[in-house]
Amino acid sequence: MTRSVPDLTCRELVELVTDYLEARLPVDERTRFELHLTYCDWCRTYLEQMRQVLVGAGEITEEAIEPEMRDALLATFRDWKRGSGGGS
Amino acid sequence: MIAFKFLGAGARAPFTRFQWPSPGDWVSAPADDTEMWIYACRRRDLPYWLDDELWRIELEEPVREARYQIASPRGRLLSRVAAWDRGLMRDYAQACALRARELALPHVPDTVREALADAPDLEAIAAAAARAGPTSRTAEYVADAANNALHVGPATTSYIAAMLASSLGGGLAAFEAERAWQARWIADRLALEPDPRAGS
Repeated sequence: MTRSVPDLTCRELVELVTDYLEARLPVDERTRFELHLTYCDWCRTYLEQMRQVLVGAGEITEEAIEPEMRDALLATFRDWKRGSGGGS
Repeated sequence: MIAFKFLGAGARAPFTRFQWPSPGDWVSAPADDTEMWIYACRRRDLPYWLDDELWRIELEEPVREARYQIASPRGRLLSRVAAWDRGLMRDYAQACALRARELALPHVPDTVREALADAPDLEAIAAAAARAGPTSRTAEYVADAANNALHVGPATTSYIAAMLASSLGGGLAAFEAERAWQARWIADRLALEPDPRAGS
C-alpha cells in the first residue's frame, strides 16, 4: 500500500488548534500541523486569531463581567446542558 | 551540527512567535522534553519549511533526526543566508510551477497539451491549463501552481507541485522525490554546504 502524503485538511487543523496551542499534540501530529501552516496562509491567520482569543480570554475575570452579561452567559450554558441531555 | 532554520521577518519563529536572540546567543530547551526542543532543517528538509528568512543554526548534540526535520535541546543562530530573498523566492516559485507543467504534460488532455507546452510564461500556462476545465485534475494542479507562483508565494507553489507529482502515481514516494528536486534547486542556488551526516 502506498503511504499517503503527510498533511492535514484545513478542517482537521481547526479541530486540533486548541491542543496545538496548549502543547498537547504528539510530535508527529504537531509536525503535520506545522507542515500545513507552512503553505496555508488562511490557517496561519486562524492560528494567530485563536492565539489572540486565548490571550484576551485569559485576562477576563468574573468581576470584570457586567451582571447582566454574567446572567445571560449562565442562562446560555444551562440551556445548552439541558438541550444536550445534561451530559458532561 | 550546523543546520538551517527558516524564520519569519525579524528572526521570529513562524508558529510559536518566539523571538530569536541575536546571532551567537544560545537558546536552551528542557533536555528531558524532546517535544520542546529546537527544530531545524537539513538541506533536504528545506522545501517543507519555507519562510521569509533562512538562517544557519548550530545545534548542540544530541541531535534527534526525524523524517522532515531535526531537533536539539540547544541551538544558536549563526548567520542569515542573505541570498534567500524576495527575488530568489519568486524564482523558486516559478521553477516549481514550470516543473509542475513538465510533470503534467504527458497526462493532460490532448486538446490542451500543445498550448500548455508552448505557453511562454506563467500567465499563459495558467490560461492554457484552465482551458482543460474541471475534467482534468492534473491540469488544475498546473493552473494552481502557475497562479500561486504569480500571486501567492513559493511555499504554496512548491507544495502544489509536490502534490501533483504524488497524484500522478507513487503517492508519498513521488511527493518526497519532488521535494528532493526542490531541495536541490534551493541548495544549488544558495550554494549551501552538504548535510554533515547524510551527504544530501
